[in-house]
Amino acid sequence: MPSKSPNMRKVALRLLTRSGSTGLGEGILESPAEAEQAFRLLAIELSRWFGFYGYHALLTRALAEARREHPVLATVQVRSATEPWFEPFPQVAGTHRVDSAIEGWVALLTGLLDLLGRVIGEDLAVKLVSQAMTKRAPDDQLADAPDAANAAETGDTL
Amino acid sequence: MISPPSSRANDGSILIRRLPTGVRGLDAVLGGGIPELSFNLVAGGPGAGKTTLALQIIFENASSDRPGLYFTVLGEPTIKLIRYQQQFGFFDPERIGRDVYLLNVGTEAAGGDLDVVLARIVAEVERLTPGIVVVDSFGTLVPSGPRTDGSDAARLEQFVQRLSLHLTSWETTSFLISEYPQAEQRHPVFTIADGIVSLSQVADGNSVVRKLQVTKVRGQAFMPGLHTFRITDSGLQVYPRIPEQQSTRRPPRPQRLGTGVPGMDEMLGGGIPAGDAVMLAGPAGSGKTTFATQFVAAGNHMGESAVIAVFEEYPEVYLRRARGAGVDLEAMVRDGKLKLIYLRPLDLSVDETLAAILETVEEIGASRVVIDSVSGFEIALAPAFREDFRESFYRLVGALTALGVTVLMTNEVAFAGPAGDLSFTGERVSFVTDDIIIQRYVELEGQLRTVLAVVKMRGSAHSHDFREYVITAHGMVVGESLRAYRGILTGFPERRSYARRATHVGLTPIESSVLDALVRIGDASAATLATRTATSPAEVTRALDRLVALDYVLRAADRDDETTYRAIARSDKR
Repeated sequence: MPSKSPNMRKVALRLLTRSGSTGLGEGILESPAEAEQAFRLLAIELSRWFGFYGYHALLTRALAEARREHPVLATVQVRSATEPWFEPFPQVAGTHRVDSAIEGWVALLTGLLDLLGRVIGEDLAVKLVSQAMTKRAPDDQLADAPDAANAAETGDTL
Repeated sequence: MISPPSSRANDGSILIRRLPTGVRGLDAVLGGGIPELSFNLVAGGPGAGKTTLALQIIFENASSDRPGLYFTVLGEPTIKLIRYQQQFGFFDPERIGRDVYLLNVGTEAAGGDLDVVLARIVAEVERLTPGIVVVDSFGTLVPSGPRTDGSDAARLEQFVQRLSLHLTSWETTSFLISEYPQAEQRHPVFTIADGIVSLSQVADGNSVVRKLQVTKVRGQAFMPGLHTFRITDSGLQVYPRIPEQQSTRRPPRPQRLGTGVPGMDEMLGGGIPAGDAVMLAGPAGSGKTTFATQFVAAGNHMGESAVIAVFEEYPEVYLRRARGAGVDLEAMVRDGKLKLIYLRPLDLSVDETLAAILETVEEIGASRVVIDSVSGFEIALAPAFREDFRESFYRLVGALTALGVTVLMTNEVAFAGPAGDLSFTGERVSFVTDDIIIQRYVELEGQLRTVLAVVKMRGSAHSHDFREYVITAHGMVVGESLRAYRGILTGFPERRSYARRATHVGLTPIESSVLDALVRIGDASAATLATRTATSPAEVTRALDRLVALDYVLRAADRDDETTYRAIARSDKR
């Protein structure tokens, strides 16, 4: 498996802990629902560039790689090729499990950045992913994405 | 807010702006560029360069206010597009996501509902208000092959019409990429387009020739015909066909250019008329390149710059060989007074060659151009271009001399034919030249010697003599006239009978020649005599020693460490 870039991990961590611009609020990593919505926004934006199938291919590969080191991601499921976002993330409880989940999401995004970087170049990969995750999704887009709002609000449990 | 792209001309008509393509040579072919807000088709088979061309145009015109949108449908995935197009110089990753967006509508297209595809495109256009939009490729929107029926074609036509209307309403200049080759451009979609650019590549022998043709640009005069193009690291580069005859040929300057070859200018009536095209034809090893380098060096001494187009050897080898012939071209290169253009690939077009030469001529303000050699140039061309070499060469020389540049072309010929056969190339390109100099080998006095003659000088008096020449350590030197011989063109000249009688009794031909030269010019050194008689210095020295011993010649004086000789007037020695 290609080695992960430490820089990409920093970028992933920054993108998942940033605040304000998406309206997702502080402490994104503390809420599975918000993390799930961040990935959903990423899916919507990157699918504009690469198509749903193209983004789905990238995401499933990154997820497969990340699962090897982060079993907590085993329960995370991509909905479908034409809806390449996750089924609602399970709610986690307990400090240890929260930390594991955070590590898993960061590893997943790092893997995605790494993978995309190897294909189109690191700078461009970081740029596109950053733009996607710091962009406020138009209301119609989020509305078009089924269950997005619900998932963010309810924070489904296991 | 979108600014109005067009203004009005004095007569009240709409003044249509033309967008630059960013592709060298293409704006000229299009008649000035892409008409703003036009709806265009770029057609061609796989690998023809359609995507690269469209992206080049996008990067040239996109801005953050009016970005460029590139939609991929079901062809090349966007991720691969970004990966590979980054290799071109025009692709600036910094501008991606700011000025340029590469978006995929494959998912929408996969459903087969063209309304969905159109809705997605229109939504992105409304969202990003682009100035330029590309859809690559519209042919993949409907099934192709046996499954295609009339309804598919009608759906596609309707889609294109609606797309065109939307894009024009949003004041975008747009391009549809099409795989349809030139022969299939009867598709109704082609009638909707305001402009059509076709790209093709044809394997010809071992080379590939790329050609571009503009078949339609509404409202402006474009350059018809096929134009060669090449895909380089910088993207596409088009070489427009050269106009067949420049109507504004610069009047030749009333001056003669020195050739730098001692004795040659005298034969040319004072030198080469400035602005002429000169052909120097001769067999292999006869000194054509030496002549050419001396011609360049002579110009350099007068402060002129020069360009040499080399086809047969690497520039460094060419420069080294020139140094061996006593000409320091490297210094001229260092001083920026000389540029060597190395053109060796076997898939060149004449237009590409001319573009390279013209660009360099303008860059350094060159007044002398050497094409070394015409035969090498012909071989460097793709086979397709060799077929019309004569016409192409005519255009090339015409374009160069129209700039007032003096062109010296070398050409290798064999002279294997009968006496008097003066065809200088297999293609008989000599008709494009103003002046012709021929070189050839002859057997003279039991030796292989070299002679030259001026065959033609348009509108100028010149010598009609065959004169011998030698290549010395300091370059080519033209010697005495060979009027005493006949049959030079056969390669086996014979001394005329009156000439034989004039030979000094008991002297060898070389001794006689040296003695005659001394009688004509008075006191002279061995080196001067070697030059004037086109004989090697060693042979002249031997001849002088014998002439001194026989009392035909005396050592006159030592001048500047050089011995001079003088003929003794003794008619009884004849």
